[in-house]
Amino acid sequence: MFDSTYLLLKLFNQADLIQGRKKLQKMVHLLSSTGTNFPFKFQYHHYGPYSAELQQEIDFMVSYGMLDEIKSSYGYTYQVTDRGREFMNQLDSQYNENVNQDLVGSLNQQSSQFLEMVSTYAFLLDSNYDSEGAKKKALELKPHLEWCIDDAINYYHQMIS
Amino acid sequence: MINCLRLGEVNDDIEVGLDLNKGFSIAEDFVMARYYMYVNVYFHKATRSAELIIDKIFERASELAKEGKTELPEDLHVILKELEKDTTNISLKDTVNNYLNLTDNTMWHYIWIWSKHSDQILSDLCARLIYRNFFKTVSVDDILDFYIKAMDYYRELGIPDKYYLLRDQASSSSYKDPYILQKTKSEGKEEESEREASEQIFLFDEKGNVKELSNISGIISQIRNKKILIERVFLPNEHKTKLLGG
Repeated sequence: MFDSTYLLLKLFNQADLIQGRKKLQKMVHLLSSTGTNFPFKFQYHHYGPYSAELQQEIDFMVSYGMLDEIKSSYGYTYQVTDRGREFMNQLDSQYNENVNQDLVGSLNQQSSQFLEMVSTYAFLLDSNYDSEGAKKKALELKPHLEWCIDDAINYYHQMIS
Repeated sequence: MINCLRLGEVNDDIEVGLDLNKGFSIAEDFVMARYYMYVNVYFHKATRSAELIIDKIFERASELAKEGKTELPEDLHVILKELEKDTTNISLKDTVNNYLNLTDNTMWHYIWIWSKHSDQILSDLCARLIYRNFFKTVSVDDILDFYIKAMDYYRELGIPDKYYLLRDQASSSSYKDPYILQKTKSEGKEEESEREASEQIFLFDEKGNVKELSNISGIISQIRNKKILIERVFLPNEHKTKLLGG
């Protein structure tokens, strides 16, 4: 019943603070690509892979006091609350899953634009593009992010695949 | 509505929309009709309870089939085997006939047979569906505390709570309408990334100028800007009575 909530709490507990909804979306998408058992379906939108179900779950967690959502001129920032940690600990006996803590730390250090490109590349590979085709299509979709395409591809192959 | 369709340009893309004069009230009626269908039919608690039970029936049946304790409809078995191979590259050509063969008649036949199965969970879920003994919703102040209490209760009973304690969220249904079910916050830099996930209904005037429906219709903007999310927890009535003390 709360399996996705539990995994998200694990993610936020490890990351401590995640700045930006776009970044959060890409982090969850990339963690899913590595096999973390998030149940969210992602579709490609303007800023890359996006899951409405994920945002809905985040809204739920905010409304029940498990996450703090802080709005600023830079966007939204999310942080787990004591209530969230308490619930996570209570669920430990029920769910035996975790997130890759090192990967969470690494992803959280990247900019949202960089993750947007990594996530887009990953999505294209999952959509049966080969590496060259995915790179070409990613550049076509995101010409403004050309500056980071090679680093994004390297990051994907080192950290995600 | 078909007679009011127009093509127009939106941000350098060609989009399908409606004629502003002729299509405005039709578009409003259309969205309102869909809104009422979701709230009163698709998301009615009895409908959702039944759909959740069906999900759980096939989840349990698939689990038992893997252990060799029951059989699935052959066409379903084929589809699930394909899914196990590669969820990103399912051959539609190979399984579409299997999908089409899975008619209501086939499904109900198996549900009837399973209602007599030796597995208590499978037979119970199937019987509930057949005899309309659906799960009930529970309304509590703190769903998180309730869930912890319920988890302990099911553990003591020796029943896996994943089949009996069900959380339902509107978007988890198979009916999705990104126009009226998505939450859109209208402030902040991330407005676009929110709006991108929603569909838009465009109306074009005779000069080709575009308006988005929720920007020009007060009633539609109310629907779009107010979150419509029906979250419920379902469980068998007898368990609800025990947990809530009557």
